[in-house]
Amino acid sequence: MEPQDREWLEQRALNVIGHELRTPVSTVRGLAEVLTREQDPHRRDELTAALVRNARRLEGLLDDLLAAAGVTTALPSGEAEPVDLPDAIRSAWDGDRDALVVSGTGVAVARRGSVDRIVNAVLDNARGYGGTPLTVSVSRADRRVNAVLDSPGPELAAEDVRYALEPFWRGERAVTARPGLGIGLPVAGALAAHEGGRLWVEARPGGGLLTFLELPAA
Amino acid sequence: MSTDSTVRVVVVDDEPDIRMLLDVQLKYAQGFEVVGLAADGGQAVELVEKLRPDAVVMDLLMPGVNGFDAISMLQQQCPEVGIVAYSGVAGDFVREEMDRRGVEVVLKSGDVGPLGRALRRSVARHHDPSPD
Repeated sequence: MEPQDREWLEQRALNVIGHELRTPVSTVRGLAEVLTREQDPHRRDELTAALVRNARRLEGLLDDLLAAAGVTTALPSGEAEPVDLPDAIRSAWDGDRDALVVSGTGVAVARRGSVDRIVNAVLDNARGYGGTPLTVSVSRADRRVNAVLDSPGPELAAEDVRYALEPFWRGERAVTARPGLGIGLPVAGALAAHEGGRLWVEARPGGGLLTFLELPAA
Repeated sequence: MSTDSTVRVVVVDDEPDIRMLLDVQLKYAQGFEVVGLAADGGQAVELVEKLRPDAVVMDLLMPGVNGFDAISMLQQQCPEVGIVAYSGVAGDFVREEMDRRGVEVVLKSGDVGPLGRALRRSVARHHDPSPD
């Protein structure tokens, strides 16, 4: 990365962290305060559920920040286990059924928590920045399971592809479309490495992004 | 305004929890009535054209039609409606863009007070367009 880009990213990191933490923190505070006044039992249940959701979101953001910073204690621990990768991808998808096509087979050996976070981050990135349908091809080669996510979309700037796994880098489209830290793919990359695999991206011919995930096979 | 000083408000935010929170917070803040909730800029424009509220609370970063574009549309189609940008992101770019549109920015907060005051100012500006 060029020095001026590095400096820009460092300045941006503090700015983005402050802003991104602000929404769940202020939401938690607001929900806690209105809960002290709200009398309607049904509404109280809704507010309590929202409070828990936002506290969890805050905790997740902090975990991701620590993981992006290379703090390994923030990464999932425990034993690796066989994980059916196509099943994990289908389970993580909460969008339209027709918008995701998964083909092929492959069982990885990894911590389930890592695989779920990787898959969620990769799908979220593809959904947020590109179009549909998303297609995922899973295959096995030697002792590795490979998944390739093909997400069509507008042509991406070269630096958006080159720096996609740099924490706090966000593509031009993302900046006005939705909030976000810009650490989804970097954290997914850290998790893939934690499991003995790797994650990388390439520009998709015709526009969009190809995301490659490689994990140890069962 | 609908009654003496009740401000009829449409809330626009892509996060359901924030829509719910503002609905409840503005209920407890005196003088506001939330008449509609929208999840993106496109829904917001439809709802505002239909309901003609006094003011709109507009999130900026949303998928689909974002708040920047929705504000431009509303200012053309419903110029009598006050708008307050309510965002978790309020850096230089946001400030400059909202200044250019004459829209006040309020940073998202657990305290609804600053938002309520900004809503009243936005409504007052549309009743008396001279500078504050």
